[in-house]
Amino acid sequence: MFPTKRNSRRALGAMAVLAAVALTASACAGQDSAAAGGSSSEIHIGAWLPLTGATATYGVGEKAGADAYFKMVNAQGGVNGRKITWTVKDNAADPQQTVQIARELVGQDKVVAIVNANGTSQAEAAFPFVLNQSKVPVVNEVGGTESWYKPPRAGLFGTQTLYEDQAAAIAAWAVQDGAKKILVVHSDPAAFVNVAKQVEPVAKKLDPSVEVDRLPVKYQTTDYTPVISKVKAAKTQAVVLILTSPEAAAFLKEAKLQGLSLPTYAYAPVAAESTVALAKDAAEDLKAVQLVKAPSDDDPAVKEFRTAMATYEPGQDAGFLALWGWSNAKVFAEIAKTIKGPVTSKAITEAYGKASSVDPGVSPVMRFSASDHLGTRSVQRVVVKNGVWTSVGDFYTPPPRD
Amino acid sequence: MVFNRSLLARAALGPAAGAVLIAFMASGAIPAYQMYSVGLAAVYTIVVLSVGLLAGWSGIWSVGHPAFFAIGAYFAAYGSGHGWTLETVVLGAVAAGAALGAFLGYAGARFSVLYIALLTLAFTTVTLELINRWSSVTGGDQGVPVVRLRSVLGLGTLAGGGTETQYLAVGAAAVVLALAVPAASSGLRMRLVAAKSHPLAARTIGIAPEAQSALSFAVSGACTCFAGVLLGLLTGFVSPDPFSLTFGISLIAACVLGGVGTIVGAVTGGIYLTWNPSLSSAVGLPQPVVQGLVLIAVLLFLPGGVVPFLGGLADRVRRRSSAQRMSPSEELTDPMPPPTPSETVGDGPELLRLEHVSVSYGGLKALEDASLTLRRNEILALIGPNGAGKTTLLNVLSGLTGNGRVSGTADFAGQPLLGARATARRRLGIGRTFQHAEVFSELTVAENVLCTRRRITAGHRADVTRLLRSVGLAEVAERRPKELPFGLQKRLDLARAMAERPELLILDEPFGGLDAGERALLARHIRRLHADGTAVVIIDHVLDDLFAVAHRVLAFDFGRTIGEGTPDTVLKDPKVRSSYLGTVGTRTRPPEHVGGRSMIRLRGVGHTYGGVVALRDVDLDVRQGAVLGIAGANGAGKSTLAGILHGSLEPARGERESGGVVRTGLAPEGRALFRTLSLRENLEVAAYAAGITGGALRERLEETVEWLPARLRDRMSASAGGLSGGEQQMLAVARALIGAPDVLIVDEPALGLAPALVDEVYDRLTKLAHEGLTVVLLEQLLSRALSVCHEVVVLHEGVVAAQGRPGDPEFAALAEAAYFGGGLGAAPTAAGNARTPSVN
Amino acid sequence: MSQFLLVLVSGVASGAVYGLMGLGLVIIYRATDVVNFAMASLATLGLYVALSLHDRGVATVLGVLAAVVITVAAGLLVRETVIRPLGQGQLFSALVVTMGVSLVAENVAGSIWGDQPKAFPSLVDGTVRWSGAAVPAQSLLTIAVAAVAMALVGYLFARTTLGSAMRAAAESAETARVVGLSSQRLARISWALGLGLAALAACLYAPRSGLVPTALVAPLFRAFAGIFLGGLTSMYGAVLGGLTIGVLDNLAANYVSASFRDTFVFSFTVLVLLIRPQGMFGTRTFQRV
Repeated sequence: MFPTKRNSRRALGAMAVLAAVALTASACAGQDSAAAGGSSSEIHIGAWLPLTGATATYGVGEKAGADAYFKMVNAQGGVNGRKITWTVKDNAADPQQTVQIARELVGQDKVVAIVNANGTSQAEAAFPFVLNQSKVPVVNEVGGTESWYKPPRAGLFGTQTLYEDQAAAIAAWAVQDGAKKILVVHSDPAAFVNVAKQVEPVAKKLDPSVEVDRLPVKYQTTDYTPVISKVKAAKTQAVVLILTSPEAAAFLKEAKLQGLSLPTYAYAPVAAESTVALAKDAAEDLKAVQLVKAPSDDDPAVKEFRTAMATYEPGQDAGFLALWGWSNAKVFAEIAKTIKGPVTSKAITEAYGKASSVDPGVSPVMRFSASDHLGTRSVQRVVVKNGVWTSVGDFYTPPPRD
Repeated sequence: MVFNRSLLARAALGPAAGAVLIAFMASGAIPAYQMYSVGLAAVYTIVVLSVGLLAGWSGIWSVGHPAFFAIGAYFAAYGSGHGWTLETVVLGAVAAGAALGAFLGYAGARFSVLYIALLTLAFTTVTLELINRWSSVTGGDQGVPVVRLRSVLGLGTLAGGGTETQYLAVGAAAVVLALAVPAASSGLRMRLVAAKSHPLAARTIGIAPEAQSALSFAVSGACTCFAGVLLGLLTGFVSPDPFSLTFGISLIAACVLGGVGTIVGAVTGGIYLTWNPSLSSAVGLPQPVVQGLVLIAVLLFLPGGVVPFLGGLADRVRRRSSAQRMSPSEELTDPMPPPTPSETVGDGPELLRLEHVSVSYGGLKALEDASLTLRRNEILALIGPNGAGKTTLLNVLSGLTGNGRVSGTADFAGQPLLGARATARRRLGIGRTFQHAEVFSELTVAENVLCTRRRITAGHRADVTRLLRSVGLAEVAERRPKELPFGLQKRLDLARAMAERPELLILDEPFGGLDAGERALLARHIRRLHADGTAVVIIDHVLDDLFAVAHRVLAFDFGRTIGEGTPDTVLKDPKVRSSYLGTVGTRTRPPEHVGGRSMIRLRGVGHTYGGVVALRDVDLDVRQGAVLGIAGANGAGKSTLAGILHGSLEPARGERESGGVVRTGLAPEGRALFRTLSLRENLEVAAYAAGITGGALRERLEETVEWLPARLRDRMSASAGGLSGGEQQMLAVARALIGAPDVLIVDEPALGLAPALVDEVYDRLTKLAHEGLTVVLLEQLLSRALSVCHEVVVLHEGVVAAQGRPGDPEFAALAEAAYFGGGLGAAPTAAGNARTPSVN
Repeated sequence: MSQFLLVLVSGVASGAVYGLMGLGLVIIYRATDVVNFAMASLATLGLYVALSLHDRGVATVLGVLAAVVITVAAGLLVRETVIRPLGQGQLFSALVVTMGVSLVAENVAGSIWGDQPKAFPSLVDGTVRWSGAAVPAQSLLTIAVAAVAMALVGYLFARTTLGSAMRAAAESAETARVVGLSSQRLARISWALGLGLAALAACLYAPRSGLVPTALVAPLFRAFAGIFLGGLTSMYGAVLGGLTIGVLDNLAANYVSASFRDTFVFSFTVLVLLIRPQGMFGTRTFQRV
């Protein structure tokens, strides 16, 4: 063996590795002594949100709404005198980062609950540590699937009507409007397929003579010309869109261009400002279901939201996403109010289990129980009128699915 | 593989660091919330190592690794759902990764770097699409949990997301690092790097690049799949989100940051990848911005990466302390007395027989009907002017004819040679060197020689040390070739060719670019090789050195054999002599109306290329209206001088003065036309470059086209690549003329042209001179220079060896002696003494 | 039949966009050996500026012009500040640096104009009836504009002295130096031209897709597939490769399987490359000793 210069390089490298290990260890060790939950002056909660990356829109909007609510509540003296501290970290929609963040929030920041975080698979990656190991509740997460709530899992509570129930609500709406032949145009990843499949059974239940077909479209397609041509050929009476907002907008624009005019229904992700912004007047009369009331409503609860947004989060859109964040923050605060004594993880879990009726005003009344951790199955019907999403009627609960 | 103490010690560093880390983790010194991140860093380290070593050793940049990572993770998820054991999952994942990797590597070897990037990009895209659609196995975009995996080898049952998996990840990374260390000093790595840094040269030492890249991609893919299994276990949940192309880019960023191809660099990269989010939130910038800025900054300021940069700093400090004790070219010990050369000539058994071998590239015949025989203890020299087909013949012997068509037969040691692949010829016993010393720049000197072996034993290392000592490279064994002067690189090239004692050694211009002392040393080496029983085929332009070692000489021109003889007799053959010197035709020299005005004057001009002296102390005066000939053999420095006269090459030393504004036009050696451009476009571009546009351009174009022969005038829209050599030369001169130059410089206009065409080109050049244009003619053939020029300068090894007027009766002989450098048959003379050579 | 016509026309329209972007990539690659990954995100910056102008009432055509100008300016800035210092022939480093630039540029766009999708105005609305199919006018315009742009580029390279000089420098930088062509100047012109084409392609693509900071990543990847298919150094190859990808993409999505569109397109590309490693129109480089 010749004396090599890589020798010195390796020795140096080894030292670097050990130094990095030691640094990490010592840097983190110092802050490991905060009291475990239940501070008398504040309620420390946290969340992971995608503030960068492909789904950043969601994270940024939700954060603005929830921030506005918490700032308002804190300005009004907090929850039972306790200020709410909501620590948000960017997970870039990455499950690994989510686990890292979850561990930091729970282990380092000692949050008592994860509130109003975002992401289904991301949260699922964090569940083993947060829910099972640390017994810290995850509440009001945006996302989630049926399996989260059937059977109910300790510490996991949701406020978001499942996509499957949204599909049921749409199906019912279309059938009520008299459609006998419905075409479900959906994106092709499993998350869309599973939802799209829910339309047919509910529609048939309400009216056995209804025909329902499905037309899958490649995820993130922007060219809807051939799709519209197929829809035309299908001679359908109503269209249900289980697509992302930009895809739905592309569908609507192309439909208008090709003179296709059919009653069109969509689920909550489509009922977004971006759909109208992208499709412009092609979005007129688009019907959709939402988790919350339309942000433009005259309802006092929605007005309060708009005022708070203008006060605390100026410059941020007071749209649906912000209202989701607002609603989730409000549900948490309302339930936290019912806690007598220290607000610990355990206390929050218990309080949620007993929260049989929480009315956030902007969204359906949440009814939690020991056996049902999902607060609602209801939706708000909304329609685009003069380029603005407008609520139609009150909250609506779709017929049960099998 | 040799395990000696220092290697073991370094290999143990990985496990040691791992053990320290695990101890830290177990003792609680690392807070629980960072445990997962530490495990994640370990997993990422394995992935970054896989990507980085693949790039650093094989030159394959893969964006396909997210797919391998995903495959491993889904193996864990599927296995956990179907009761597989941990070992089954790991074996399955590793096998899948190896198989897919081998396929990508093998297919990718046909492609260039960028195409491999696309291939791997396609692999990732397709894999992700399949994962998303194959919901029954992968859970689609909803993901699947990794609940637990049971081990049959006594590791117990690992719960997905549990603490044990964090220890497992760190331990696994430590083991992988420990394996990577000996791999880094193994023959495997050397052969990979060799195949990457010079595929052609690698073939000549028996390394097939396809096999190497398939192997390395397989190993890399397998490691990444293994890391994927660890990731699945560590996180306890697998979904498609993390395995995006963005992750692929992040991986490349991590590799580049740490230092491509270094093991410690991979650790750095893994750590960076894990804590980049924390770093971003610490500096208050979004993650992608931090990542982008880091990438740009590292590539701009630390192109090798952080770890090699720090290592380099440490080396520099160390070197400074150990002083300058190296001056390798000085100490040349030659233990053996120089054996006398020509005593055992030509009576050995026949080793090589070539019969009627021809090589053609497209329509061009590079070698025509060559036949030769070589005996076992013979040194055969091939001579001939540039383009004669000598290098092609060497390439036939070493199997590097590329896509040329080879016909004829060749037998080597009783076996047919032409059918054998290039990589097989090393095993047959053929070694070769290259004109420009094509050494493996990324390996050390010792590794350059060691990589000829598949498995390296202590004995091999000792052999190599001895070999390097014998060629005077022992002192620089651990240096990189590019740190060495050119002469030493050529010695290394020779050492590499000699490493396995080939029966036949092929030397391609071994003397070119060497100084006198080095040439003498090289001659001694060649004689010693012969004494050891090696047959040698050697080509060179430096005839005196060549003749000093050769037993027999074969002369080539225009792809054919034109003469044969001993060094003493071959140049007496008029055909051979005229192929170098030319035959003086009946050309009339243009009338001399040399004005006194000097157009360009060079004073003490010298130039070097990477340590090789091309020109030394040249004084030259180009006077108005003169035709100045500069004659010299190949490698004498003519083209360098042409560039300096033209003004496109800045001389390293000395001055170039021109009288007022003198426009120069150069028709460079080999024509250097834009082959894909039409004739007209070639002229237009030159005019454009000279700043002529619009109407003036059209005017000049018309005038210049008029100068061209009629058969070219009719084909102005045809592409220049389709022209014959003579036509190309005409066009090249026209291109030099379009800028309306005051001095026209024509470099080797006759190169590769049939005699009739040479005459035509020269007639046209003479006509230009008649019209009063100042012409500088650089010419390989002395007689031709003498026949047309007013004044001739003979250049020998970068020095003006003779200067005079062709009319002077004594000058011809003087010039001829100067041309060959000190006269025929004389002992090699050091350059610079040849100004007044003796006439033979 | 009308369905097939629609699929074909929108395939050609997408393909024209990929072809234009590919053409820009190839022009820059030939001149400077840089595979410009940042092209899409720089063009996105241009689009946002155009949209801002449009929102202030500036005519769409002027907006498109502004997009081109901004993209070209940003591209030249990038080249002078971070690419040129790398030196010549740093193929891989340059590629990775442009990746870095792309990450930063996308984020800058996001932080200035937000991540919410925005509508980008189309130049024309409505449809054209053609043998029973309602072909969107925007698709036809896309094809027409791309064709004109490609023809102009073709004219520039085939018929003008500047074009000849650019081809000359692309063929051999060394010979270009000997002849006296200013390689830096030609490199700048090539970058400007390539980015201008990218910006134009972006303006044709954005009305259909809407505008987000990452809007052009998908067509960029298609353009890459196109230029690899066509041969990295061939301008015809870039255009034909892009068109092939666009049409295949649409045919696959409509007649094979929507879900396996990428698999189909990329498998096709790789298969072609396995047979012809240099692409359909690329030239094989022969390595000489």
